[in-house]
Amino acid sequence: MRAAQKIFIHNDRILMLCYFLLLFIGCLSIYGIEKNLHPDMEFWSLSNQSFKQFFWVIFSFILILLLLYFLKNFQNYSYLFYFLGIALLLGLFLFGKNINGATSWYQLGGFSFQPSEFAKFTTSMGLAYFVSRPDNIFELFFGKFIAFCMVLFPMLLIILQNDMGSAIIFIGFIFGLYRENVHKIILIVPAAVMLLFTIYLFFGFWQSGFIAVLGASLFFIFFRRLYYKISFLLKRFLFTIFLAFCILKAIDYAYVNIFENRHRNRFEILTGKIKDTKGIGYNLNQSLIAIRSGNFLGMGFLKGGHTKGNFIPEQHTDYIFSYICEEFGFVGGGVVILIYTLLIFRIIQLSNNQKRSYNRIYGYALAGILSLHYFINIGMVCGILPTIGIPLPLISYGGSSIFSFSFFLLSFAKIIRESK
Amino acid sequence: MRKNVLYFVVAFFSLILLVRLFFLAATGKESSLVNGGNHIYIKTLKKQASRGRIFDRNHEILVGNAYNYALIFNPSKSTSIDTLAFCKLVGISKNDFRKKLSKRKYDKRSFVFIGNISKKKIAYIQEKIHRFKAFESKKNTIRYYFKEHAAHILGYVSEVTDYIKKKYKNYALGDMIGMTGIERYYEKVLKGKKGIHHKHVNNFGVIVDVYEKGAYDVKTENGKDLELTIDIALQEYLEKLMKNKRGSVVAIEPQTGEILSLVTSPSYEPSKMVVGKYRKKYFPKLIKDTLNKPLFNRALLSEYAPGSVFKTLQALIGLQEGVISKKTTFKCYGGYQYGRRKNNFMKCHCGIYGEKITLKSAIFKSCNSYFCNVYKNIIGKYVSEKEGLNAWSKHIKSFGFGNFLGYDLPEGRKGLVPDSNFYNKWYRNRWRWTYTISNAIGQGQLLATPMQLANLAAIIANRGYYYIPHILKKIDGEEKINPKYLIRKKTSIASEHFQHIIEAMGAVFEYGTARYSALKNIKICGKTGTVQNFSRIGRTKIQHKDHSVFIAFAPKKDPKIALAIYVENGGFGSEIAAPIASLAIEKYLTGKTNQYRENEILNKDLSNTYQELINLKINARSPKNIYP
Repeated sequence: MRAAQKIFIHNDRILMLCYFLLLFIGCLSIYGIEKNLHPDMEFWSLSNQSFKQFFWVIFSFILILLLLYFLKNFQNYSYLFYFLGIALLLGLFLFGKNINGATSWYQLGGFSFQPSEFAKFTTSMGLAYFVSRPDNIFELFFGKFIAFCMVLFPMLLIILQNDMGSAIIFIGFIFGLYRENVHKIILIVPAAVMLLFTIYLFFGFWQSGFIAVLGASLFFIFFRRLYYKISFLLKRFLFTIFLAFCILKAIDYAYVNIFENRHRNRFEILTGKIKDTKGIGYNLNQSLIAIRSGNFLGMGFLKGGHTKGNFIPEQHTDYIFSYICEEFGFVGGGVVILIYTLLIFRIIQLSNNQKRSYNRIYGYALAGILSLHYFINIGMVCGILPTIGIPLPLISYGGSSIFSFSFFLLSFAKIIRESK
Repeated sequence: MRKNVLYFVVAFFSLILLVRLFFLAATGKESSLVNGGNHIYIKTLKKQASRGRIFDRNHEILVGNAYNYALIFNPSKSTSIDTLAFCKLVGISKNDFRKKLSKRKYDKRSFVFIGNISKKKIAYIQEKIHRFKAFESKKNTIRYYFKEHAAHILGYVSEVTDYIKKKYKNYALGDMIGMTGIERYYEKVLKGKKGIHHKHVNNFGVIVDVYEKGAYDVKTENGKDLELTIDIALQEYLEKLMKNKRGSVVAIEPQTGEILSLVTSPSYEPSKMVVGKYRKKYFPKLIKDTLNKPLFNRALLSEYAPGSVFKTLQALIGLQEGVISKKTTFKCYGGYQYGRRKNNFMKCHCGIYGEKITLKSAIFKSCNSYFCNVYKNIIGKYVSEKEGLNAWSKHIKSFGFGNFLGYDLPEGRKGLVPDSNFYNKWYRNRWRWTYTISNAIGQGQLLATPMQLANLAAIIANRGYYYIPHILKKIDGEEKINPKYLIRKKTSIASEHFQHIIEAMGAVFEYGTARYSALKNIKICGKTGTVQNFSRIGRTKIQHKDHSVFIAFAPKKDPKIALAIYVENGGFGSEIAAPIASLAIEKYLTGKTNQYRENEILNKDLSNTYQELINLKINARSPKNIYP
């Protein structure tokens, strides 16, 4: 009883409300997909994915509560968690199972789990613990370098396991680092890379270089600071252009030489250079048809024709948002987006109010990872981002994902509660 | 700033997603099937309604449905099979088998593996097909003809092609549509209503569920059965008699206007016109036969001069107009001189020279001079020749000549009844009644179809009225005839005049032109006709052998059947047409036939005559004749 009070009353209520709402939407959607595909299925059977999901939600909830109860100050074990995460990732090279081209799964008897999901919060813990060291080593350049390496190392391991989607999520840490007084270049460079990459995709190398020069010159003409000398500005301008060309060249090299054909295809379908609704563009096309046929109010619960016809493969995992949009329409999809926005806003707000830097960084890591996760997933389903196989947090099917995000959120709620 | 960056980023993300989602929702199409939504997951299955059957008046089945089998391959059920055993069972080579399978490599929907399998073969295949789970047999319905007769009445059905689909609504490719005859006229009744079922399919095209619990489905309604007024026994018998002759026989029941038989010769075998492999070979053969024209329905479409049988009508007009009476006599001197010139003379073969001829003997001896006089008097009764001719043609038109009768068959011709307007055009306003003297004996410009002649016989039998001939008796066992076929149509001739004509027509069989065809028990009334016919080739006019014509009804007191027989190039009316009429009447009324007379008719083969005719035309067309 007291435990329940702790969770629902002493914890932040908005956080908990959003959390349970998302879990409920997830279970409902998976149930809907299952019921559509197999109208005569029974809920209480282990072959039923919605029951499995429901079971996982309950199971991980209880497990996390126990874990958090016994580890009173789990912050103190942050390094342990961090190295456990790294060890699990390293272990994949020996015991990993290859599913869909990525070696990111452990298979243990009946069920499998994905350490890259756990690595998200373990890395956050390690990073938060390192940054909040009382000796303020993070103030030094060396400290910042170490912090970077702490994020980059698991990210690199995940890239080596050929799981680009999960690796990209680690970019979410930059918001936390920026909050802790790292130079703003940490935001500007990734943003510039994204921007240039987008331009590059549409226009090609030289054209995007020209656009970059044009943009930079316009910026320097209209937004220059008048108190700087012209020569300084010119140097800065030239440096910017140089940097832009460096980035572009790197993008070009990566795109042509490092990317595999399947990666390039995903981008070219988005830009419209490849028109294919049957082969590589099949999933995206079907997902868009499903979302469109939902219109504003949706076709109604258990009435989604595309879902019923199994037109979107593995809809209960990455493409679950297309199901929500088909049966609940723009309203349903919009509500999901708003819940995410509310959740993340609340996390940011809570972390900003924290005095302890551990809590702050942990919260920012959570917010950054969540925002990237939901934006990339829904963007992919809606056809504005390339196909990147990551689940929709707390909604998509998958025990590892549910467990890691639940742990992330609940532990954050706990440290917030305790710091009051 | 550092505090708020992530707020902006998340707000930016959410905004982008919401705008994109709004755009997608706004461009989405209306999802309901009723609004014409085209969905990848809805499969529309159509179930053909079975076409209605056709019976004759004694409820003997003429057309039904049969099944034609096909072997369907269902890839979603396919397992490894013993290819060799399968090929042996079905009777195809291994290469063919592979070719057929490779056609649809990635499509998981079922398709027709082998079509058009006979019942015999499928019975053999079906015994062992259960071993090959991916294959199953499916039956299609086709038309089945129980009798190889009445082809022109029944008509044939065709598969709907692109052209037909554009012309008629509510047809899809592969449907059956009646092209001629009953099949065409009663297409709506016979066709039934196609069932439409909507199924929910998955990404492989395999049916998962019924769409919306069948809310948009349409039930199949089978076509209705028709019962015709045709007597198939009579029809069969007449077709037998008409073999090797060109022409037609139309028999009508006078009291009701029901068509008893409608024979056209030469005809075709309806069972070979069933859609399938026979049709492909048979149909072009029929179309290419431009000499015999087996697809041409002579009973309804051919317009002939009626000939002497028209004299009965001429006499009736004379009586009605009051220009002659029963006792009026004229003299015949081997013909009729209608002008001053020597060649203005119409010959007569009545054989009564210079004696007074009464109306009765004029009819049973078929005297041309008598009717020329009658015609002259009719025209002469009026002030002007034009008025006289118009009055004359008005009487004829009231008998149904010169217009479509309105029977329920899709084909027909008007025929022609000339009036003053016609001759004004024909002779450019400069004509006299003597120019039209041929009309007096049913030659000249007058044209009628055999159906109209049969109707004339029925009118005389009824003494002055008729029902529009029709061929439908019952729909699905209920009498649902179009009310227009129940209206008694009166002619402009008073009924008391008919008695004289009937007496005279009875005398035709007693001591007139058809006395050799008389029956012992049944009193038949009839009138022979011998129609001269010509064909113009270049400037030369060639006369061919006469057409043999006959109209009759029997029995005299209470007529049960009225007939018109037209045999092209058959010679005198008494030669072929009259015996056929008497045989038909005997067959219809008693069921027995005179064997000797029957054989005589059966042995009459006119194909040599037709061949000569063709040769004549071919010779006439040779360059020597065209460029003299």
